[in-house]
Amino acid sequence: MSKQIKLFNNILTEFDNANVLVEFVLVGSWCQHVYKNSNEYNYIMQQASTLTTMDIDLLVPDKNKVKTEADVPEILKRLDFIEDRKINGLIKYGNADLGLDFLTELKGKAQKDVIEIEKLKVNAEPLRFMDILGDNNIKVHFDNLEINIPEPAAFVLNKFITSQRRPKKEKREKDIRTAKEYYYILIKDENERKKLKDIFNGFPKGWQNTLKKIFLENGIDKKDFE
Amino acid sequence: MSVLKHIVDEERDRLKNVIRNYQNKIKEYPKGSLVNKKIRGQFYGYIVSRQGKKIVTKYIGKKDSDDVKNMESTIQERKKLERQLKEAKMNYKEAERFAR
Repeated sequence: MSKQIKLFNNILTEFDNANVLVEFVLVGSWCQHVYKNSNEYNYIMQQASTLTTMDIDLLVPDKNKVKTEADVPEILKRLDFIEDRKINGLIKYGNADLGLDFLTELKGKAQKDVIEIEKLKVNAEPLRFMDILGDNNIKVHFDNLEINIPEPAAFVLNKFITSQRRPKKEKREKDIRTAKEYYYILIKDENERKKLKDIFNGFPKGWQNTLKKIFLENGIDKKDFE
Repeated sequence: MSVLKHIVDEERDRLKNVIRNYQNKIKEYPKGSLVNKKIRGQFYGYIVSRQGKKIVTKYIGKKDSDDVKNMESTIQERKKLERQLKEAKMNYKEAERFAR
């Protein structure tokens, strides 16, 4: 795993050198590694487990807000990544140690299944509920870098709500396991408990009802959000 | 445990794709090695490759020409991809062992 961590740090450093790191929000399981090792969150996340997958997920919340122009595929090529073109035109990146996916927010039902991020020369897969992570992100200090990650409260709520859309049982279980673990860490902290509540209360009623059902199934007291 | 197994299975699938992509990419590059031959006091670059049982030698240009330099860097790139492919295959085998 140390090889993957080194490569992960190299990717972030190379993106930072190209002034492009600021355009992304790190989402997915590698957030857990950053929470645990960031100056801002390591005080509460020290005991949290970090079951990371071999895929790094980078979110571009809104392609129209991208300011920097950079040849991201060229940076990845230098890091020995190779393109993986899917049938629908989506391009993922991978090498022997890690994969890297670009994601964006799914806006409306009629949206295409691949969104071109012209300024970065990459395309991204639009996914539902990414706005939870994109709208509630925070800059943290990690490995001498500044990186955008979702507020842990947003990370937890996103995990809970996406779990119900996972077709695979194992993925669902993994989402719930991670969400529950982080939820129980966060409610011990006054600020984080408030953030959980605020983010939850900002959701549309439908999402709140879905989450309440998931909370009930997983023994989480919905009063924490009222 | 099923969660861990699922992560390993996913990684195995990911590596399968990576291996296929490396193999396809390598096919875009010329096969063989670059050799310099001295002919009448001058050095010339050739690509030497195997085609079935035959060894084929193809002239590229004078040793210091742009064609030879370009070919040299192309061959280096291919060799780098071959090393990465080898590593991906090793990781795939490891993932297979874990998955069992």
